[in-house]
Amino acid sequence: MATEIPASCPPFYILVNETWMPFDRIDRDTSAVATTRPRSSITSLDGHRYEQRARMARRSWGWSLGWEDPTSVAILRAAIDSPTDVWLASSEALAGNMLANADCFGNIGNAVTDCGGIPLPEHTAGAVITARVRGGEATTMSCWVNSTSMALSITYPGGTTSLTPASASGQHSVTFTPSADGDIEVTMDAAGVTGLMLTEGTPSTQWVGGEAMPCKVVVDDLDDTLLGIYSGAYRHDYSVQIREVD
Amino acid sequence: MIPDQTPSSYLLPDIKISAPGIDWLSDAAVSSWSIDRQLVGSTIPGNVRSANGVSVGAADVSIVNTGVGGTAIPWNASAELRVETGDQLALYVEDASGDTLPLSTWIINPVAGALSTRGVDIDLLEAQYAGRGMAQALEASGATGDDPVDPCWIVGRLAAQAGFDPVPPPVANLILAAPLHGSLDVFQLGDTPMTLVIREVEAWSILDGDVAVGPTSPSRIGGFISDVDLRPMDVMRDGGSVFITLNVTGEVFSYSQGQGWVLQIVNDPSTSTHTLTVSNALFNPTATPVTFTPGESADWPTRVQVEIQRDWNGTTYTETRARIRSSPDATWSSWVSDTTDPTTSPYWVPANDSFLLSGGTIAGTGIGSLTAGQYAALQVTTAAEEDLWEPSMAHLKPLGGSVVIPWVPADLDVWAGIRDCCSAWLGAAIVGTDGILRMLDRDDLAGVGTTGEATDIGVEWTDLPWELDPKDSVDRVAVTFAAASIHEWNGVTPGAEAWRAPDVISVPGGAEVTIPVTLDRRAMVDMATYFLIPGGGNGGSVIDVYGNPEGTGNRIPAAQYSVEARQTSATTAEIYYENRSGQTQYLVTDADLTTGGGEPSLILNADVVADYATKQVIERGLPASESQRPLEVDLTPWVQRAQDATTIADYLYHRLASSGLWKVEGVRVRLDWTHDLGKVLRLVHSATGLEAKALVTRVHYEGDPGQIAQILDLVLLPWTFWDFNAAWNALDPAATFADFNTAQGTTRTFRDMAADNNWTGA
Repeated sequence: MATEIPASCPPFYILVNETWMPFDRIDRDTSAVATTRPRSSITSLDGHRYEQRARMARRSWGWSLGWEDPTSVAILRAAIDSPTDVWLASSEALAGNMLANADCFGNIGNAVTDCGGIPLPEHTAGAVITARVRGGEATTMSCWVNSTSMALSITYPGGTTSLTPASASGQHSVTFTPSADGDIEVTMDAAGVTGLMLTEGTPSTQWVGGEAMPCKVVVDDLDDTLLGIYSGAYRHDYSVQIREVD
Repeated sequence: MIPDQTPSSYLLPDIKISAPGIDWLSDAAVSSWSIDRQLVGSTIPGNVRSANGVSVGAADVSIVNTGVGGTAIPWNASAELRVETGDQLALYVEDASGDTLPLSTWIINPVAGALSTRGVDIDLLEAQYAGRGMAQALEASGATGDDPVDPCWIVGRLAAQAGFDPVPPPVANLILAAPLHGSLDVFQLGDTPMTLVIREVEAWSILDGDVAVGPTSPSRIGGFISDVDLRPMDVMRDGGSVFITLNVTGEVFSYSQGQGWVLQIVNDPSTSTHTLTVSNALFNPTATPVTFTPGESADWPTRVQVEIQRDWNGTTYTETRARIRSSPDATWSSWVSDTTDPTTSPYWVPANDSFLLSGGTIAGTGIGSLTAGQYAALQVTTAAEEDLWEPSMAHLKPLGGSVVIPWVPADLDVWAGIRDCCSAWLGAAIVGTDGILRMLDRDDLAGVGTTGEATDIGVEWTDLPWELDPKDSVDRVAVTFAAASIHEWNGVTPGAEAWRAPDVISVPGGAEVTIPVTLDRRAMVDMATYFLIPGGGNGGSVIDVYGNPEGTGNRIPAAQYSVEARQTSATTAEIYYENRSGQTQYLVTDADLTTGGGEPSLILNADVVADYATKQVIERGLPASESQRPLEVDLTPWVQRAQDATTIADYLYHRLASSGLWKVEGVRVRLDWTHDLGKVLRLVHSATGLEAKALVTRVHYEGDPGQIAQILDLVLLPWTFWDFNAAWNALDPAATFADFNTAQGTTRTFRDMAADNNWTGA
């Protein structure tokens, strides 16, 4: 079933000057995400096609804001020239799965586990993944196992914890609260864990793909169309490009 | 294992840089890169469809500057972050599972960037070129025509100087070291070196991928130490141990004929026999052998180390004992010992000491009956040093020839020497992406011995661009070589002339000068340090010296100067002259001589000098007057025997005179990380009926975001008799061509068979 998001959640959060700010001024139907994954293909003499792909794709968002005044975009302006890194997170990603998609499961060749209806290969023992978490938020790490000997160790800002499954199959989870924004490190102590999900809140019972958020972004200068003065305030249509960076 | 591109959608591995200690490259992310490696020959031009020589590599890489602070610039205030050239970095491939594949080590050459971008472009040279321009010094082999060397020895000695040692180099406390890669040369330390008296080798073979003596029996090397310096025995009489470390398979004896001891090593994987035994007297070792675990060293699967001790009571040896192990960390086996009275041996001559090593039987004693031994990388030492197990950086291969007196022209640097030697013998020395130098001989480069990796070009290649150029084939081959003309000291006049100063040399009062001597077209085998006085002279270190450049007046007495010479390589020496007076001295002959007066008087003589002035030519194909596409090669000084030159001429003519051979350049193929120089492919294409063997002579990678392109150059290989035999074998697995030949009997010729349509094979 789809993740449940409280109606009061803003669609996006932006970390500007080390403070998470909600942002909900985006017009309906106007947050478009484009991904760019470098790739190439060659074709052999007989017509066999071989495609090569880079291992990662980076996203960019285009937001349109209509009929707004400058106070609505003040937080974006603060982000454009922010002296510190700017991070972006969507409520859907925070409720769905914050990990990078490729980190949620292992390599081909390992056994495959049914994660709430989605078959995924297991991680090998000793695999380590990292992700970004928000400080002060109750964060849940969940996974699917097929024996009680599987376990995860998690190091997060402010502490460590581990996930030891109580039963030999199904989905299991552990909750922790980081003391500050930062990276967590998850180590698979034994082989067989898969279907990882990192959420702020109760995870879905079917594996949901990772959205790799919070992610570091840059915010481009705003495009601005002045619509005129209405009821004593200037109204603009704005559009902004936000790009994921490393 | 980094996978090749087989799945249709191939997640590219990362290209990474390893540059420890270079802060401006820490965490550098590669954005685009290219690597180009090709086989470059010299003696035989590479464009005539026969590849040889050395591998040459160049690369460049563009990085995103993520170093500390992201400010890698040449003027950075912090020295660690300042961009510099000349450092070394290694490139490697790493895929998602953490597997890596090396892509060679490189030297940073020009680096370029701009303040407006975060990209930095680095040009790279293959790291072995740190040795380019390095003067080479090929030791005089000591051969006087009795111990010719295989040319791979020359490559091995030059490669060792460039840092690619085929065997562990001699350690500090050695008594004797014999690398045995193509030559019977030994290294010794000490004032009274061993005199080698026995050197018998019938074959060079390959052991562990390196050259070794044997296994044809007998093969013996050894030396005789005079009673002045009974070095191994001295150590043992004082209660010390002598260590013998060598690579060995089969049965090998180490023994001292006069002192009576015998040590027998059996390292035979075919019968799983791995034993050591000793005898205190020179007869069949009767002590119960001790067994050992072989192959415990990952670098040297056939290397063993034996420790020997002998007890001396003042008159005789009461016991010989030894133990063995196969790696520096392995536990020693238990001791095996024998207390037989050595005076019972008919060969007991206690005043003499000798160290002899024999693979197989001990001549004259009837000892030895198992598999003849194969051995290499021998060192006899007084301590068990860790360096005795240094891994090999060069895998040599006999090039199948015989060099009577080896030398390398003094003006060639190390890599030019390796290139020219390999090229002349139609072989190749390729430094792989793992940094190990591997030699291929002419059979490898002709595709003999392998059917090649099956390659359906319809599946693997994007295209087949072919070119047929008449200039690439020849109708005449002329191979020039020079046999060594050996001039030996006849015992009367002082030596054979090796070098003569071109001008009168003047030395200011009180000065010490070093005069470099470079021989052109000559090799010194054994340098005697004396000089010639024209008109006879009285031997010894005497030279003509006058106080004026014309040679008039009184000769300057010997007490007022000193002169000595030192041989530094087969073709170079140094003469040290010290003027002990206050006046300038001139090295000029007596002006009153009827002939040769007033001439430069500095002449260096040697006991044996070889020159290569007399050239011979082996021809194949059309005579010079009718030939339109001749190939003339000069193999001096590398090839010195007529039979070797004939073999090379035949090989070249067969390959280059074949018509219809096209070449392939610049073909983009499906990414396969195992493609490398010297690889043989078997190309097939069912749609066009192609079936051919080809040799990879160039591998080029171009990497960009989302793409790694691999582009090859290949040389087509003419079919050889080996291919015919392999094809025959494939048709009828029970028969070889020898069987077919036998079935024809002695009366039936090929012409008969060709005319007989009804032949049934009976």
